[in-house]
Amino acid sequence: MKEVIIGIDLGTTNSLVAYCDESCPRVITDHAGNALVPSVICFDGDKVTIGQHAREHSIERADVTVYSIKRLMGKSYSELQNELGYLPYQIVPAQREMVKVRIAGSSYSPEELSAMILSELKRRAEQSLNTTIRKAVITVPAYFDDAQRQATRNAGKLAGLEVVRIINEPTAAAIAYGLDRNEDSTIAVYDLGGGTFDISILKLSKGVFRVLSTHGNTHLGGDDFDRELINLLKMRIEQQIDAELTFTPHIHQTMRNFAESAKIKLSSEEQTEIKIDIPGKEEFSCVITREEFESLIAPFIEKTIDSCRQALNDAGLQRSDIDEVIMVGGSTRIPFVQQSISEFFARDVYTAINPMEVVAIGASVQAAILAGLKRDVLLLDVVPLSLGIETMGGAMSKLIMRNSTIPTQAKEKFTTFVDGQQAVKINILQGERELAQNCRKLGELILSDLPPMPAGLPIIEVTFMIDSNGILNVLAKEKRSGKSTSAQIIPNYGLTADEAKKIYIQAIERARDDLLAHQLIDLRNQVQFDINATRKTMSKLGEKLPDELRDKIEQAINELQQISGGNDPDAIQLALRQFADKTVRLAELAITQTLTEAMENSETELEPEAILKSGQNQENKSAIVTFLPSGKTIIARVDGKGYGTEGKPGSILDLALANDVYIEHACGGFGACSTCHVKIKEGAQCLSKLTDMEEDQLDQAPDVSSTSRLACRAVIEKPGKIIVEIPSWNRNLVSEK
Amino acid sequence: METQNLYPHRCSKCNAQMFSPVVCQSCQTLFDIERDVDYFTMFGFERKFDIDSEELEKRFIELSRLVHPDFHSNDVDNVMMLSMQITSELNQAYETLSDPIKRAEYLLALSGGPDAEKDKSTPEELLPYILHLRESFEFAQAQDDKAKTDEIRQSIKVLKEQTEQRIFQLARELNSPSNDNSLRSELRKQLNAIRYINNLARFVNV
Repeated sequence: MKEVIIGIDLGTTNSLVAYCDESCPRVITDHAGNALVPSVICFDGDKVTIGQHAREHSIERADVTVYSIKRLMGKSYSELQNELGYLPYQIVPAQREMVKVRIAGSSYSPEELSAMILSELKRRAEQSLNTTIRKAVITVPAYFDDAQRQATRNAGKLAGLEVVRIINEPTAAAIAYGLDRNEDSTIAVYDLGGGTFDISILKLSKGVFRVLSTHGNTHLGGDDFDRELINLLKMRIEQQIDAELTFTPHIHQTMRNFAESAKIKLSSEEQTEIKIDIPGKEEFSCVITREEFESLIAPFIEKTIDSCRQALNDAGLQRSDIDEVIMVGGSTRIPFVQQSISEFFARDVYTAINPMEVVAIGASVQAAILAGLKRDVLLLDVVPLSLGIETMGGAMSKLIMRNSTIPTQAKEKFTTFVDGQQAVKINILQGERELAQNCRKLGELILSDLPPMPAGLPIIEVTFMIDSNGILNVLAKEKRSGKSTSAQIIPNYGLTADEAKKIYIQAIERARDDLLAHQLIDLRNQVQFDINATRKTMSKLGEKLPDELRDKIEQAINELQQISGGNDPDAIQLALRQFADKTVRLAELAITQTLTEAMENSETELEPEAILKSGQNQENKSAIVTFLPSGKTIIARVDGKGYGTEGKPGSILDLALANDVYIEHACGGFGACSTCHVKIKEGAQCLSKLTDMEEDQLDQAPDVSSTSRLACRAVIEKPGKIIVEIPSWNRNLVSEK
Repeated sequence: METQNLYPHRCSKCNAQMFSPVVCQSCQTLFDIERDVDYFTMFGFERKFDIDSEELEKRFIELSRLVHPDFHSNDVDNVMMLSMQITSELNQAYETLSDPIKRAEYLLALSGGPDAEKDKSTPEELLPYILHLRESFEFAQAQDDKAKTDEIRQSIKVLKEQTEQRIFQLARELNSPSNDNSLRSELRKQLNAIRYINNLARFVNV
C-alpha cells in the first residue's frame, strides 16, 4: 500500500484537510459532519483546545485565545506594526526579526501555533482514515514569499508532518475546478480569503494546469473588512457614550464577533442592526447599511483589481482572453466582491463550487500525484516574486524573474576583494523594486571555506534553485579549485535550519516520552494478563506437573513481576518472551486439557485457536471449519452433534446457521435453490462427495468455480481443517436484505 | 513523436528511439544533460529561428510529464535531484524558445555573437528619437492633448513592430552559411534597441 499523503488548506480563519485516493478527492469531516476547523487556539490552563470549541469560547476566554496566525507567518516585528493594535493577543519581538505571541504566560512562535492547528488536522485525518499520517501537501497563498513558505514548511515539521509539497492556493482551486473538464481554457482564479488575496491566471489543457502569472497581497482579506467595521462601530459607540473606548481583549473579541456577523448578514440583507451591552452604560445600538459596508471595503477591492490587471499584463493577455473567472475563499461570498470582479472581467463569475473546500480538495489531488496514485494531472506553477541579490551600491540584481515556471534556476559568479579572503557574504532579495532597500531581504548567503587565493582570482559559481515548492535552495562551487563551498543561508525571518531542527527534536522527544509511556502501559498489561492466566492454569493443572517445574514457574512469575516494575520496555519485552519459554510445558498441558474437555463435552466453551495450534485435531472426531471472509472458526463434530438436524448428519449450511454465519439460502434446505454455493478452499476431502443432483444445480448457477459446493448438501464426514469461502455475491444478497 | 526528429539517438538503457536527450519516453530514464546540449536539441528541434510554436508547447508538456519532479517524488534522491535539474532547464528552454525575441537573443549567443554586456551599441539616431518621443508624450499628456498622445503611441507601436521584424529577419539569416560578423553585430544592435523601445512602450502604456 502506498503511503497516505493528505492535503491541507491552512487558512487564516479556517483550515481543512482532504484526502484523495485513486478514484476521487474528499474533505475529511468530524463526527458532526463539519469539514472546517476554525484556525483558533485557546490556552486554558494546561489544556489547549483547537478549532470550533476554541472559537466558541473566544469571548469569555479572549485573553488566552489566538487566531489569524497565518498573518504572522514569516513576518518581522516591524512589518507587523500596523496589525498590533488590532490583535487582542500580545506580539513580542524575538531574536533576529522574528516575533512571538505571548499568551497565558508563555511565548510561542507563529510556526509553533500553526503546528498546533496542523496537529489537529493530522489527528482528524488519522482518525478518519484509520492510519498514521506522516506526509502532507500544504497550501499557501500564491503571493507568499520564500520566508512565509519556509515558515509554513517548518510548522508542518513541528507537527510531525513531512511537507512533501507547498502548493499555491489558487492553483489548488484550479485543479479542483478543472479536474473533470476536458476543453482547453484560460481561467482566472480570484482568491480572497480571511487574510490574503491572490489572483492567478492559468491555462488548462487535458489535465495540464499551467500557471501563466500570479499576483496578490498577503495582507488583504476579510480580516481587513472586519477591522473597518470595528473602527466604524468604535466611532459610533464613542459618539454615543461620549468617551474613548478602551479595547480590552474581551471588548475587542466582542466587537470582532459583531463585525463578523454583520459582514455575513450584509451579504444577504440590505442593512443590519447591531446591539451591544456596554457595562455601566445604556445599550448601544446602530444600523449599518450594505452601502456603508461596501464603501468601507471598496478601496480594498480596488487594490485586488489592480493585481488582476498586473497578472493579466504579465500573462500577456487581455481581459477578453479569460474564459472563466473562478471565485475562491470565504470573502468572495460578499455580493459586492462578486459584482466588482464580474464588472472588471465583463463576464459572470463562477462561484458554484464550494469556495471554502476547493483549496483543500486541490491539495489532496496534488498529494495523490506525489504519492504516485495519479499520473494524469500535471501542475506547472510559477514563482510569484523575482529573486535576486544586492549588488554594489545597493541595487537589486534580478536572477530569477517573477512568474518563471518552477522549478527554475540561475547561476551567478562571485569573487573575492581581499587577498586570501575565505568567505563571501551576499544579501538575497525578493521583490520587484530596483533598490535593495525596497525589496524584502530574505537572508544572507554565506560562502565559506574558500581556498585562499589572491583577490579576484576565485570564481565562485552559485546556483540559485527555486524548487517545486517555490523555496530557494543554494549550491556553490569554486571553479578554479573545483571545490564545493559551503553555502548557508541565514534567514532574516523565521527559523534557521538549525533552530527548526532543535524544536523538532524537542517535539519528537516529547512524543517519544508519550510513546514510551503508552508502550509501558501496554506491556505491563500484557505481563499482568500472562501472570493471571498462568496462575489460573497452575491452580487447575499444577499438580500434574513435576514439583521442580512448578517451582520454576513460580519463580518465573516473580521475576517477570519484578522486571515489569522497571521503565525499560525492551527489558519487559524480553522478560515476557522468556516467561513464555519457561511456561511452555504448562501451556501444552492446558491445550491438551482443553481439547480433551472439548471432545468430551461439546457444550464447553471451545477455543478453536488452541486446537488449531495443538495440531492434534486429526486424532479426534472434530473438524475445524473456518468461514471466510469473516474468519470465524468453529469446531464441528463429524457426527453433526450440536448442529445436525434430528437423525441426519450436519452439513456446512447447518453448521453456519447454528453459529450465526450468514449464508443466503432460499431452498429451505431441500437443495432446490442454487444460491448458496460456497467455495471450499481447503479440506474438500473431509466433506461428502459432490452428488449428481448437486452438480446439475451448480451448473445452472452463476459464478461457479471448480471448488464450489452447495453448502446445504456438503456434510462434514472426516476430521480435518476446512476453509469455506462465502462468495461475495452471496454476501451481497445478505446485506441487501 | 511523429514529426521531425532531430535527435537520432537511442536510449542507452532500453535502446528505444529518443527525441530528446534528457529523457527516454519509452523507459522514462532521465539523463544528465551534457553542457553542449542546446535548447533546440532538448526539444528535438533543428537549431534555427523559425519553430512551430504549437509543436513546441506540445513537446514541452510531453517532456514535462516525463521529467517533472512530481512524477519522481518516490525515486531515489539522485534521480529526484536530476529530475529537478532537468525540469528547471526545460522550463528555461521553453521560456526562451517560446518568446521570439529571447529566441533570437539565444541564437545570437549560440552563434558566438556578443552579449548585451559587451556590446551596448544601438542603431544610429535611435536614442535621440526615443528621447524625443518620450518628451513629446509627456508634454502632450501635460496638455491633456489626447489626439497627440494617441499619435505618439501609434508611432511607438510602429517602431516596435519594425524593430521586431528586423530582428526576426536577421535571426533567420543567422543559420545561413554566409553569416558573418556584421550580421551578428547588426542583430546585437537591434536587440539592444528593442529593450529601449519596450521600456518606452511600457511607459506610454502601448
